[in-house]
Amino acid sequence: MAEILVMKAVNAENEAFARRVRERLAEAGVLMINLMSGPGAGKTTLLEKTLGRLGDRYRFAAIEGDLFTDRDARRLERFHIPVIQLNTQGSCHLTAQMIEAAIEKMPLAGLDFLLVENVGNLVCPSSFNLGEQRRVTLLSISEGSDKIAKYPKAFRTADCLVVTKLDLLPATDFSLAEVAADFRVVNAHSPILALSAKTGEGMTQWYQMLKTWKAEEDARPRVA
Amino acid sequence: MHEFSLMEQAIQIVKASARDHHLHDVTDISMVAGALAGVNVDALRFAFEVLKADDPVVAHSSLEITEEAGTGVCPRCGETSPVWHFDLRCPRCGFLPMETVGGDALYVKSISGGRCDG
Repeated sequence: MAEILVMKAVNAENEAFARRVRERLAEAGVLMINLMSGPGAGKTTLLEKTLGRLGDRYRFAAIEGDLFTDRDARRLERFHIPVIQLNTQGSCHLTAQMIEAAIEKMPLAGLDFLLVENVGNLVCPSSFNLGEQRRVTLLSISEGSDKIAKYPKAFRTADCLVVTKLDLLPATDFSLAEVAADFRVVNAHSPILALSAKTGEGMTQWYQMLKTWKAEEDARPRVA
Repeated sequence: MHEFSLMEQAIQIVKASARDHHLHDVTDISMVAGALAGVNVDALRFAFEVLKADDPVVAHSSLEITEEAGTGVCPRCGETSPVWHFDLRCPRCGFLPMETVGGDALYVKSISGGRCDG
Protein backbone atom coordinates (compact mmCIF):
# COMPACT_ATOMS: atom_id res chain seq x y z
CA MET A 1 0.00 0.00 0.00
CA ALA A 2 1.17 3.47 -0.80
CA GLU A 3 -0.36 6.86 -0.09
CA ILE A 4 0.24 9.49 -2.73
CA LEU A 5 -0.22 13.18 -2.01
CA VAL A 6 -1.97 14.62 -5.08
CA MET A 7 -3.14 18.15 -4.13
CA LYS A 8 -4.58 18.91 -7.53
CA ALA A 9 -7.61 21.12 -8.14
CA VAL A 10 -10.50 19.42 -9.88
CA ASN A 11 -10.98 22.43 -12.13
CA ALA A 12 -7.28 22.56 -13.07
CA GLU A 13 -8.01 21.56 -16.66
CA ASN A 14 -10.77 24.16 -17.06
CA GLU A 15 -8.50 26.77 -15.49
CA ALA A 16 -5.74 25.94 -17.99
CA PHE A 17 -8.16 26.49 -20.89
CA ALA A 18 -9.41 29.68 -19.21
CA ARG A 19 -5.85 31.03 -18.96
CA ARG A 20 -5.31 30.41 -22.67
CA VAL A 21 -8.58 32.16 -23.52
CA ARG A 22 -7.60 35.11 -21.33
CA GLU A 23 -4.20 35.36 -23.05
CA ARG A 24 -5.79 35.33 -26.49
CA LEU A 25 -8.23 38.06 -25.46
CA ALA A 26 -5.48 40.21 -23.97
CA GLU A 27 -3.32 39.89 -27.10
CA ALA A 28 -6.26 40.94 -29.28
CA GLY A 29 -7.47 43.69 -26.93
CA VAL A 30 -10.93 42.14 -26.58
CA LEU A 31 -13.09 42.51 -23.47
CA MET A 32 -15.04 39.32 -22.82
CA ILE A 33 -18.08 39.48 -20.56
CA ASN A 34 -19.71 36.35 -19.17
CA LEU A 35 -23.43 36.90 -18.60
CA MET A 36 -25.12 34.56 -16.16
CA SER A 37 -28.67 34.26 -14.87
CA GLY A 38 -31.53 31.87 -14.47
CA PRO A 39 -33.54 31.06 -17.61
CA GLY A 40 -35.65 33.94 -18.86
CA ALA A 41 -34.03 36.78 -16.90
CA GLY A 42 -33.49 38.73 -20.11
CA LYS A 43 -29.88 38.10 -21.12
CA THR A 44 -30.60 37.97 -24.85
CA THR A 45 -32.87 41.03 -24.75
CA LEU A 46 -30.20 43.01 -22.89
CA LEU A 47 -27.68 42.00 -25.57
CA GLU A 48 -30.06 42.99 -28.36
CA LYS A 49 -30.53 46.46 -26.88
CA THR A 50 -26.81 46.81 -26.29
CA LEU A 51 -25.98 45.90 -29.88
CA GLY A 52 -28.65 48.30 -31.12
CA ARG A 53 -27.27 51.17 -29.06
CA LEU A 54 -23.50 50.63 -29.11
CA GLY A 55 -23.13 48.63 -32.33
CA ASP A 56 -22.04 51.68 -34.34
CA ARG A 57 -19.37 52.65 -31.88
CA TYR A 58 -17.82 49.30 -30.90
CA ARG A 59 -17.23 46.02 -32.68
CA PHE A 60 -19.07 43.18 -30.99
CA ALA A 61 -19.21 39.41 -31.26
CA ALA A 62 -21.30 37.01 -29.23
CA ILE A 63 -21.24 33.42 -28.06
CA GLU A 64 -24.63 32.00 -27.18
CA GLY A 65 -24.76 29.05 -24.79
CA ASP A 66 -27.88 26.92 -24.69
CA LEU A 67 -28.68 23.29 -24.13
CA PHE A 68 -30.44 23.10 -27.49
CA THR A 69 -31.56 25.31 -30.44
CA ASP A 70 -29.98 28.27 -32.21
CA ARG A 71 -32.82 30.63 -31.38
CA ASP A 72 -30.71 33.13 -29.43
CA ALA A 73 -27.97 33.20 -32.07
CA ARG A 74 -30.59 33.96 -34.72
CA ARG A 75 -31.87 36.87 -32.65
CA LEU A 76 -28.38 38.41 -32.51
CA GLU A 77 -27.42 37.72 -36.14
CA ARG A 78 -29.86 40.43 -37.15
CA PHE A 79 -27.23 42.89 -35.89
CA HIS A 80 -24.67 41.60 -38.43
CA ILE A 81 -22.07 40.60 -35.87
CA PRO A 82 -20.16 37.30 -35.58
CA VAL A 83 -22.28 34.96 -33.46
CA ILE A 84 -21.45 31.40 -32.46
CA GLN A 85 -24.10 29.22 -30.91
CA LEU A 86 -22.79 26.58 -28.51
CA ASN A 87 -25.19 23.75 -27.73
CA THR A 88 -24.24 21.84 -24.62
CA GLN A 89 -26.72 19.02 -25.38
CA GLY A 90 -28.05 18.94 -21.87
CA SER A 91 -25.00 20.07 -19.92
CA CYS A 92 -25.88 22.88 -17.56
CA HIS A 93 -22.96 25.28 -18.13
CA LEU A 94 -20.30 26.43 -20.60
CA THR A 95 -16.65 25.49 -20.10
CA ALA A 96 -13.45 27.33 -21.04
CA GLN A 97 -12.67 24.53 -23.49
CA MET A 98 -15.88 25.32 -25.41
CA ILE A 99 -14.97 29.02 -25.47
CA GLU A 100 -11.46 28.31 -26.74
CA ALA A 101 -12.87 26.24 -29.60
CA ALA A 102 -15.38 29.01 -30.41
CA ILE A 103 -12.86 31.88 -30.48
CA GLU A 104 -10.68 29.86 -32.87
CA LYS A 105 -13.43 30.52 -35.42
CA MET A 106 -13.74 34.21 -34.63
CA PRO A 107 -11.96 37.29 -36.04
CA LEU A 108 -10.76 38.32 -32.57
CA ALA A 109 -8.30 40.95 -33.78
CA GLY A 110 -11.02 43.30 -35.00
CA LEU A 111 -13.21 43.13 -31.89
CA ASP A 112 -13.86 45.34 -28.88
CA PHE A 113 -16.37 43.19 -26.98
CA LEU A 114 -17.05 39.47 -26.87
CA LEU A 115 -20.35 38.91 -25.08
CA VAL A 116 -20.87 35.38 -23.80
CA GLU A 117 -24.38 34.38 -22.81
CA ASN A 118 -24.03 31.41 -20.50
CA VAL A 119 -26.60 28.62 -20.17
CA GLY A 120 -29.60 29.88 -18.19
CA ASN A 121 -28.87 28.46 -14.74
CA LEU A 122 -28.10 30.20 -11.45
CA VAL A 123 -26.06 27.34 -10.02
CA CYS A 124 -23.57 25.55 -12.24
CA PRO A 125 -22.09 28.23 -14.58
CA SER A 126 -20.67 30.15 -11.63
CA SER A 127 -18.19 27.36 -10.88
CA PHE A 128 -16.58 27.52 -14.34
CA ASN A 129 -14.20 30.32 -15.22
CA LEU A 130 -14.40 30.87 -18.99
CA GLY A 131 -11.43 33.22 -19.16
CA GLU A 132 -13.65 36.30 -19.09
CA GLN A 133 -12.36 39.61 -17.74
CA ARG A 134 -15.79 40.56 -16.38
CA ARG A 135 -18.74 38.60 -15.10
CA VAL A 136 -22.29 39.95 -14.92
CA THR A 137 -25.16 38.23 -13.12
CA LEU A 138 -28.74 39.18 -13.98
CA LEU A 139 -31.75 38.86 -11.72
CA SER A 140 -35.18 39.73 -13.10
CA ILE A 141 -37.92 41.32 -11.05
CA SER A 142 -40.25 38.41 -11.86
CA GLU A 143 -37.89 35.90 -10.20
CA GLY A 144 -38.43 37.45 -6.78
CA SER A 145 -36.08 39.26 -4.42
CA ASP A 146 -35.07 36.19 -2.40
CA LYS A 147 -32.84 34.63 -5.07
CA ILE A 148 -29.49 36.04 -3.99
CA ALA A 149 -29.70 34.34 -0.61
CA LYS A 150 -30.82 31.11 -2.30
CA TYR A 151 -28.20 31.05 -5.08
CA PRO A 152 -25.29 32.92 -3.50
CA LYS A 153 -22.38 31.67 -5.58
CA ALA A 154 -23.61 33.15 -8.87
CA PHE A 155 -23.81 36.54 -7.16
CA ARG A 156 -20.66 36.26 -5.08
CA THR A 157 -18.46 36.07 -8.16
CA ALA A 158 -20.24 38.81 -10.19
CA ASP A 159 -18.48 42.04 -11.17
CA CYS A 160 -21.92 43.63 -11.49
CA LEU A 161 -25.46 42.70 -10.50
CA VAL A 162 -28.04 43.76 -13.07
CA VAL A 163 -31.66 43.72 -11.91
CA THR A 164 -33.75 43.42 -15.09
CA LYS A 165 -37.40 43.94 -16.06
CA LEU A 166 -37.67 46.97 -13.81
CA ASP A 167 -40.93 47.88 -15.58
CA LEU A 168 -42.55 44.94 -13.74
CA LEU A 169 -41.75 46.37 -10.31
CA PRO A 170 -45.22 47.90 -9.64
CA ALA A 171 -46.88 44.56 -10.43
CA THR A 172 -44.88 42.61 -7.82
CA ASP A 173 -43.77 42.82 -4.20
CA PHE A 174 -40.12 42.65 -5.27
CA SER A 175 -37.90 44.67 -2.94
CA LEU A 176 -34.86 46.39 -4.45
CA ALA A 177 -33.70 47.21 -0.92
CA GLU A 178 -33.78 43.52 0.08
CA VAL A 179 -31.82 42.59 -3.03
CA ALA A 180 -29.23 45.28 -2.40
CA ALA A 181 -28.81 44.16 1.21
CA ASP A 182 -28.62 40.45 0.31
CA PHE A 183 -26.10 41.20 -2.45
CA ARG A 184 -23.78 42.98 0.00
CA VAL A 185 -23.84 39.91 2.25
CA VAL A 186 -22.23 37.80 -0.47
CA ASN A 187 -20.41 40.36 -2.63
CA ALA A 188 -18.25 43.04 -1.05
CA HIS A 189 -17.70 45.60 -3.78
CA SER A 190 -19.51 45.08 -7.10
CA PRO A 191 -22.04 47.67 -8.32
CA ILE A 192 -25.79 47.09 -8.69
CA LEU A 193 -27.73 48.35 -11.70
CA ALA A 194 -31.50 48.20 -12.13
CA LEU A 195 -32.93 48.59 -15.60
CA SER A 196 -35.65 47.79 -18.06
CA ALA A 197 -34.54 46.85 -21.55
CA LYS A 198 -38.15 47.28 -22.60
CA THR A 199 -38.71 50.89 -21.48
CA GLY A 200 -35.04 51.94 -21.53
CA GLU A 201 -35.05 52.98 -17.86
CA GLY A 202 -31.60 52.55 -16.32
CA MET A 203 -30.00 51.49 -19.61
CA THR A 204 -27.71 54.54 -19.75
CA GLN A 205 -25.87 53.33 -16.63
CA TRP A 206 -25.40 49.89 -18.23
CA TYR A 207 -23.94 51.39 -21.40
CA GLN A 208 -21.72 53.65 -19.34
CA MET A 209 -20.40 50.71 -17.35
CA LEU A 210 -19.54 48.79 -20.52
CA LYS A 211 -17.64 51.83 -21.83
CA THR A 212 -15.80 52.21 -18.53
CA TRP A 213 -14.86 48.54 -18.42
CA LYS A 214 -13.62 48.70 -22.00
CA ALA A 215 -11.53 51.80 -21.25
CA GLU A 216 -10.05 50.05 -18.20
CA GLU A 217 -9.20 47.01 -20.30
CA ASP A 218 -7.57 49.18 -22.97
CA ALA A 219 -5.49 50.94 -20.32
CA ARG A 220 -4.10 47.64 -19.08
CA PRO A 221 -0.55 47.00 -20.31
CA ARG A 222 -0.57 44.53 -23.19
CA VAL A 223 1.39 41.32 -23.00
CA ALA A 224 3.92 41.43 -25.80
CA MET B 1 -25.76 18.99 -11.40
CA HIS B 2 -22.32 20.15 -12.47
CA GLU B 3 -21.06 17.72 -9.81
CA PHE B 4 -21.02 14.96 -12.43
CA SER B 5 -18.66 16.83 -14.71
CA LEU B 6 -16.52 17.81 -11.73
CA MET B 7 -16.34 14.21 -10.55
CA GLU B 8 -15.35 13.06 -14.05
CA GLN B 9 -12.45 15.52 -13.87
CA ALA B 10 -11.55 14.31 -10.37
CA ILE B 11 -11.45 10.69 -11.54
CA GLN B 12 -9.16 11.70 -14.42
CA ILE B 13 -6.82 13.33 -11.89
CA VAL B 14 -6.90 10.20 -9.70
CA LYS B 15 -6.15 7.95 -12.69
CA ALA B 16 -3.28 10.12 -13.92
CA SER B 17 -1.78 10.20 -10.45
CA ALA B 18 -2.18 6.41 -10.02
CA ARG B 19 -0.48 5.86 -13.38
CA ASP B 20 2.41 8.22 -12.50
CA HIS B 21 2.99 6.40 -9.22
CA HIS B 22 2.45 2.87 -10.56
CA LEU B 23 -0.66 2.09 -8.52
CA HIS B 24 -2.62 -0.72 -10.15
CA ASP B 25 -5.73 -0.08 -8.13
CA VAL B 26 -6.84 2.78 -5.92
CA THR B 27 -8.43 1.85 -2.60
CA ASP B 28 -8.94 5.29 -1.05
CA ILE B 29 -9.45 8.76 -2.47
CA SER B 30 -9.38 11.82 -0.27
CA MET B 31 -10.86 15.07 -1.56
CA VAL B 32 -11.36 18.51 -0.04
CA ALA B 33 -14.37 20.68 -0.88
CA GLY B 34 -14.30 24.34 0.11
CA ALA B 35 -17.50 25.62 1.72
CA LEU B 36 -17.59 28.41 -0.88
CA ALA B 37 -16.79 26.18 -3.87
CA GLY B 38 -20.42 26.00 -4.89
CA VAL B 39 -20.58 22.23 -4.90
CA ASN B 40 -22.93 19.87 -3.16
CA VAL B 41 -20.89 17.20 -1.40
CA ASP B 42 -23.69 14.62 -1.42
CA ALA B 43 -24.10 15.11 -5.17
CA LEU B 44 -20.35 14.60 -5.59
CA ARG B 45 -20.50 11.33 -3.62
CA PHE B 46 -23.46 10.18 -5.68
CA ALA B 47 -21.68 11.03 -8.92
CA PHE B 48 -18.64 9.08 -7.77
CA GLU B 49 -20.68 5.96 -6.99
CA VAL B 50 -22.25 6.12 -10.44
CA LEU B 51 -19.05 6.87 -12.37
CA LYS B 52 -16.63 4.54 -10.62
CA ALA B 53 -18.25 1.43 -12.05
CA ASP B 54 -16.99 2.45 -15.51
CA ASP B 55 -13.38 2.33 -14.51
CA PRO B 56 -11.39 -0.63 -13.13
CA VAL B 57 -8.77 1.62 -11.48
CA VAL B 58 -11.34 3.24 -9.17
CA ALA B 59 -14.10 0.61 -9.22
CA HIS B 60 -13.27 -0.53 -5.68
CA SER B 61 -12.21 2.82 -4.24
CA SER B 62 -13.87 4.53 -1.36
CA LEU B 63 -14.14 8.30 -1.43
CA GLU B 64 -13.78 10.61 1.54
CA ILE B 65 -14.64 14.28 1.13
CA THR B 66 -13.61 16.76 3.81
CA GLU B 67 -15.31 20.12 3.85
CA GLU B 68 -13.11 23.14 4.46
CA ALA B 69 -14.15 26.62 5.56
CA GLY B 70 -12.86 29.84 4.08
CA THR B 71 -11.30 32.44 6.35
CA GLY B 72 -13.02 35.76 6.88
CA VAL B 73 -11.03 38.78 7.98
CA CYS B 74 -12.96 41.78 9.27
CA PRO B 75 -11.49 45.09 8.05
CA ARG B 76 -13.09 46.94 11.00
CA CYS B 77 -12.35 44.88 14.11
CA GLY B 78 -9.70 42.54 12.74
CA GLU B 79 -11.57 39.40 13.79
CA THR B 80 -10.57 36.27 11.89
CA SER B 81 -13.30 33.65 11.60
CA PRO B 82 -14.16 30.54 9.61
CA VAL B 83 -16.66 31.13 6.77
CA TRP B 84 -18.96 28.16 6.17
CA HIS B 85 -21.69 29.95 4.25
CA PHE B 86 -21.98 32.73 1.73
CA ASP B 87 -22.25 35.32 4.44
CA LEU B 88 -19.62 38.00 4.73
CA ARG B 89 -20.94 39.57 7.95
CA CYS B 90 -18.39 39.72 10.78
CA PRO B 91 -19.64 37.45 13.60
CA ARG B 92 -17.98 39.68 16.21
CA CYS B 93 -18.88 43.26 15.28
CA GLY B 94 -21.45 42.75 12.52
CA PHE B 95 -19.46 44.69 9.90
CA LEU B 96 -20.27 43.88 6.31
CA PRO B 97 -18.43 42.75 4.24
CA MET B 98 -15.47 40.78 5.55
CA GLU B 99 -12.69 39.93 3.13
CA THR B 100 -12.42 36.19 2.53
CA VAL B 101 -9.43 33.98 1.85
CA GLY B 102 -9.69 30.41 0.56
CA GLY B 103 -12.60 28.05 0.98
CA ASP B 104 -13.42 28.08 -2.72
CA ALA B 105 -11.30 25.16 -3.90
CA LEU B 106 -12.29 21.61 -4.75
CA TYR B 107 -9.29 19.32 -5.01
CA VAL B 108 -8.00 15.78 -4.86
CA LYS B 109 -5.85 15.65 -1.76
CA SER B 110 -4.43 12.15 -1.79
CA ILE B 111 -4.95 8.61 -3.04
CA SER B 112 -3.92 5.22 -1.65
CA GLY B 113 -3.55 1.92 -3.41
CA GLY B 114 -1.46 -1.10 -4.22
CA ARG B 115 1.74 -0.66 -6.20
CA CYS B 116 2.39 -2.70 -9.31
CA ASP B 117 5.77 -3.81 -7.88
CA GLY B 118 4.11 -5.27 -4.77
